[in-house]
Amino acid sequence: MTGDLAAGAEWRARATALLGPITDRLAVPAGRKVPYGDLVRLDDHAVRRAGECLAFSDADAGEDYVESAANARRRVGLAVLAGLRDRPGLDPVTAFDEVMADRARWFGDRLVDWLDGLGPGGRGALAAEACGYAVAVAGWVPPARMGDVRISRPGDWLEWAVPGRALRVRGRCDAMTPRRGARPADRRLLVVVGALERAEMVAGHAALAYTLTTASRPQRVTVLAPAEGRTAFAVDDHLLLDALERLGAAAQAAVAARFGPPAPTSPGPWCNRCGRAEECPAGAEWSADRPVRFGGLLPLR
Amino acid sequence: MIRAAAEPLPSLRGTVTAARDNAVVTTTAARFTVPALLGEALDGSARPCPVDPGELAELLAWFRAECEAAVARSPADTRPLRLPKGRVTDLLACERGALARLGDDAMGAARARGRITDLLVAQHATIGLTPDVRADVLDALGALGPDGAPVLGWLAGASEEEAAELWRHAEVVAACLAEGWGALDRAWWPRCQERATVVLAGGALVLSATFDLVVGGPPTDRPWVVVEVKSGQVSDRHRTDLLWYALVAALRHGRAPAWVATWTAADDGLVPLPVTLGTIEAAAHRGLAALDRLVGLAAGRAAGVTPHAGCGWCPELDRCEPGLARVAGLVDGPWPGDAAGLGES
Repeated sequence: MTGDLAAGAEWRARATALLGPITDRLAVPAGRKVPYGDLVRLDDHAVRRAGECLAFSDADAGEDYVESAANARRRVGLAVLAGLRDRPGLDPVTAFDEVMADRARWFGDRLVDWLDGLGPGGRGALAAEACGYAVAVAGWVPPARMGDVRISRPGDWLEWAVPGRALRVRGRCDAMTPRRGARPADRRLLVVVGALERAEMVAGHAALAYTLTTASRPQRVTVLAPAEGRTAFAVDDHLLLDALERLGAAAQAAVAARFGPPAPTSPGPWCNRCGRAEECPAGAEWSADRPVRFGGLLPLR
Repeated sequence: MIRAAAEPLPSLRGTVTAARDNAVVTTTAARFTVPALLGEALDGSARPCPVDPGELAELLAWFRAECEAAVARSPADTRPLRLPKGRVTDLLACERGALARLGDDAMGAARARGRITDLLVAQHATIGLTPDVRADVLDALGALGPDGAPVLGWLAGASEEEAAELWRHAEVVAACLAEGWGALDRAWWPRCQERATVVLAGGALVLSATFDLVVGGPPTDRPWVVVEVKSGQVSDRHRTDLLWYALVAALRHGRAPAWVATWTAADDGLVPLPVTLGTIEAAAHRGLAALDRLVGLAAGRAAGVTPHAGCGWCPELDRCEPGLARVAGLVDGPWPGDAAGLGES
């Protein structure tokens, strides 16, 4: 076993040692298949929510998921990006046209059904979203090195099953380099987010998920917010340890949400978007003391 | 330190007749059209004074430092302070009006016109419009899901006259795009609704803008042009918005666009502004003036009232005597954005 792989295996052992006792109520007998709906998945969203409030980490406000141009942006944008990589000189809109013409090869049934129902106006709205995404990511590496970028397929996840538990650690990366022929430990990952506010958390979770999935840790993780810029993190023990600690909190929150007793609340600005704010006295008290400001300003009335 | 005054702003305006009834548009001055602007930007003839990267870096560093000093005067519990384009304009026009507009996100006829104008531009710039403009718009709104719902909801409750006016506007926009713009060269890598956010002072201040249309620039090797789309008619006061785009773009990417321009959909008018160091410095001064007001108001200072030409659209008008007097024609006042004396010459 090489040094890299040994280090990767060591992180798997550490994660198992941390998560196992926390999630003993998610134990499954060896060899038994867990139904899809019974699996707990700890992704970067779950980790973020648990970092805010352990009690209501599963309580997002908002409506059920629907396909839309914004929700399809990443999936279609990744396919457009692959076109730009594979055919130097191609423009994003032409790449988009080609993806749409070959959509059954690229996407799952649900997205294909939605795309089939779009008229020219809907395709225009989607093209604007997807091409904007692809152009933003294309700036990650110089054009001459674009051919060396491995682009995630829609639905690709970094996912590691915690041994003996109905539990998955799930991460995502939008692209990685080099594309092929490299050891996993030489890889650099790119994760695209909406804002850089929690870039270190995102980078740490992606690095940890990659390390657990491949048993080998990547070299760097770049977090890109197209509107804002990007920041890169070297993957070291410090980054992975912090990520593992946050993962433990997320596991604790998930177990409490499923089996009880309730985890402690920690009120904060997130209470304003919590789907269970009405049933949380601590959150209500926090919000009552703080008038809603708009970019620092209080409205007239 | 760079302290040069803003470059003189030439008064450029496309002369276009938009025949609303039959949606036929005749361009009589091809010089100031989107394709002419892009063509001249591409061959370099429309870039008289390239921005020196070193001087730009110096200017942006100064602006960042000034912002940090200003934000330090704000109470910690009011941060992060946010300055999107509209708030800069509002604060410089009238502080009380700016506060009255906070949280006012109700959909109305004007917002609906703006939204569908953006959608038509996005479709034109990517896959192209069809002759059935109404179907294109409804299809696009449906594809936006929750983001399109407010306009669809407004349409559902609009009177026949309001709806007809909206669709007439859509026809005019589509005709202007077809005849005024023509097909956009895909090699320019057109992008629509590109958001730009600049976080300053350790996260205590967030500047932002949404570029309606961007062509060229990084990662292409073409000149970088940012186009602001407005649903109304051309006006010289749109230049102040363009200043903000030039500044935010430069802060976001560390380089300046070659041009920023406003295209007005109702008359196919174009107000282009070549970006020079002076342009960006004027934008920086204007931004700092708005930030100074933002910091003062966040700290609890009473909002000042400045009657101006936009009072007629202010939600606070009924309770504002100076505004009512301005609307009645008793008091002269500047256009929104001119109050700091930095926006237009």
